[in-house]
Amino acid sequence: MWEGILAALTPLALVFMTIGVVLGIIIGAIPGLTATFGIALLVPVTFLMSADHGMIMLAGIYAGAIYGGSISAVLLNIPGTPASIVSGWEGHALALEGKAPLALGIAALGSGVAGVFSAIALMFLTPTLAQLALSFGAPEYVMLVVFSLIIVVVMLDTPILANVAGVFIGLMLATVGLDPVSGSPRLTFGFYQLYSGLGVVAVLVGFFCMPQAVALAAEAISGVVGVTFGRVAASPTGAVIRRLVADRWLVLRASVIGTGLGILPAVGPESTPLVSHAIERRLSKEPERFGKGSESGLLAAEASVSANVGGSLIPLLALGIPGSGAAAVFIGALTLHGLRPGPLLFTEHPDIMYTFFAGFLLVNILKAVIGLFGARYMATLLRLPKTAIATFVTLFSIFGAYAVNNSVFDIWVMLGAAVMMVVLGGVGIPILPVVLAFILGGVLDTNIGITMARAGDWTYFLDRPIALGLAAICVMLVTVSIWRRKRGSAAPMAKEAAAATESDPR
Amino acid sequence: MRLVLSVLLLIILALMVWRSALVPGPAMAYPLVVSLCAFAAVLTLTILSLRKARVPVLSPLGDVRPTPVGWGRLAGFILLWIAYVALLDTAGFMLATWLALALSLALLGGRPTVRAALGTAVFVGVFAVLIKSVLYVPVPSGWLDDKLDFLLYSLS
Repeated sequence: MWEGILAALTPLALVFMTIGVVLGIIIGAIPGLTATFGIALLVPVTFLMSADHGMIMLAGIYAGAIYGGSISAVLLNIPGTPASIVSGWEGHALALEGKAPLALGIAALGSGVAGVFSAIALMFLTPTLAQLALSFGAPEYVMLVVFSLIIVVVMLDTPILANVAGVFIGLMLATVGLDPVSGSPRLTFGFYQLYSGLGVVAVLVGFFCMPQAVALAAEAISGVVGVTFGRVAASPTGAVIRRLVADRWLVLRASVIGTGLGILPAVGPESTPLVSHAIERRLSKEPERFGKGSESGLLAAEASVSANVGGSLIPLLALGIPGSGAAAVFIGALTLHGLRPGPLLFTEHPDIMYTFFAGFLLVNILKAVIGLFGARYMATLLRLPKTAIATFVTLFSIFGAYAVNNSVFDIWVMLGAAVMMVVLGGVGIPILPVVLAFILGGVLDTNIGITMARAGDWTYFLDRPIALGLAAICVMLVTVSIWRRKRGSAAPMAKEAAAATESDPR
Repeated sequence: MRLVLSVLLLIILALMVWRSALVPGPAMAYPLVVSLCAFAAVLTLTILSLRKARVPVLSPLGDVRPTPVGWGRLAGFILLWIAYVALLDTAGFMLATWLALALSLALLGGRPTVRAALGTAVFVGVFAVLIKSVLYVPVPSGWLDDKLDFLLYSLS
């Protein structure tokens, strides 16, 4: 463990950490570019580094981008990432009161402190969860993947059938390649390049980067320009620290909520600040200030969203199940370095894991420092023309898809994935279930094969209490979800019936 | 538009079901079941959306609605980058990238500028040197790339 911590303190690790955080903040600050986009775009670059340095840099991009979104949210009321919507409500209202430096400082320090909390949780919860997962066999893995996919299906706001369709499309994409048991080619359409499956990085770049580039191009063509603003003063460090000390329990609560929600596969950083903000509003002595420029509201939102980042990495590293879309893209980086996410990471590469944990802790400290003293300079990036952003994002997306296998075929796969994303969006199918199912499909496929080969009859499953427990939870989740949705749709119908009765007294 | 996209998706999924059924032996079962389920789910979703059920469209363009000319420029932008990928192997990385960048900036900016043409040429030169001497990514080679390789080899 100590060796890992020392490895994270080497000059090269610190350089990659700083590059990651700065790049992340820049990506997050530019409206339209998300953390998932940043990680997907820069995964191929990590191929040139050692695994631990690559992971630390990506963690820096993830954490930095989530925080960076608050810069444009505070200054322009345009959330740089979807996770910064609440920061826009509170932070921009503070900026209109002339407190933009204070708002940027609160966002930076709140984000950093909660990030450190989630890094500590990551450091201690992940090995424990991985230890438990070591006792898992094929049936447990099947049920774990099914459980994760069911959570995604029932927890997303989009219609349940659209989520189900997304899951099956993702699973179908994951079957492309050779069958894990017999070695027969499946859905390869005669292309030998597809024998090893669809390239994870190419598909993810296609899903997250190319459509974003087209959207930015559309904005550039339509003349959507950023709002200009004057020079931003330095953050008042003393006032920021005083706010943090006064709201210390709020920060702790938001950190716990953020980390906890981050562990769940479907709850990404987008919805976390809404939950934390609503809870703090209820607990606050000044609830009327919330939504109109409350420093506590901004702190709650930033702390929870930052803690969500660490939380989403816990199931990824311990079980191989990503806690968010951005964490799913992390799997691409791990596989690129020959690492298999899951409990065996801790037995096969403990050095890399502990270096990553320590690196993630430092990333959050660095993020707070850079944010506190440098956010005002990064704000100038908001003036970059969309024409240039769209053009260069497209170039780097294509280059990123190519560079992993040095294959032009992968660029076509990436473009195909981008078209697929547009088609799915047009039909109303969200991308998150597709991505999670695509990432987890291989695990499900292989373990179903092993389970079928080992299980002589149904009594085999009686000896697998964990698998049975997960199956019971899955059934319960589906039942509760159907019941809640039926009740939700029945309520408006009852109201309509009551209204009809009132208007027609007969 | 939704109906067109739904039909397109259903055709792709039907093709996947058909190809899954052609997989020899027991390896056929898993992809067949998964692709059939995907087809059934999308078909049900399409029928529900035709019955005016509330299935929101998730457009990547958000609220941005370009003018007809704007749509043409956007289509040009997409076609330009597809042509870039098709040209990479024959024209080489440097020439294809410079052309794509300069034309993309001209298309999105509304007019070509000397500054953009020169700026992208300098960028491509620096990027190509970085790729060849730091990143070591073997990009498709053309006349210009060969000249740069020769120059870098002579300098080292």
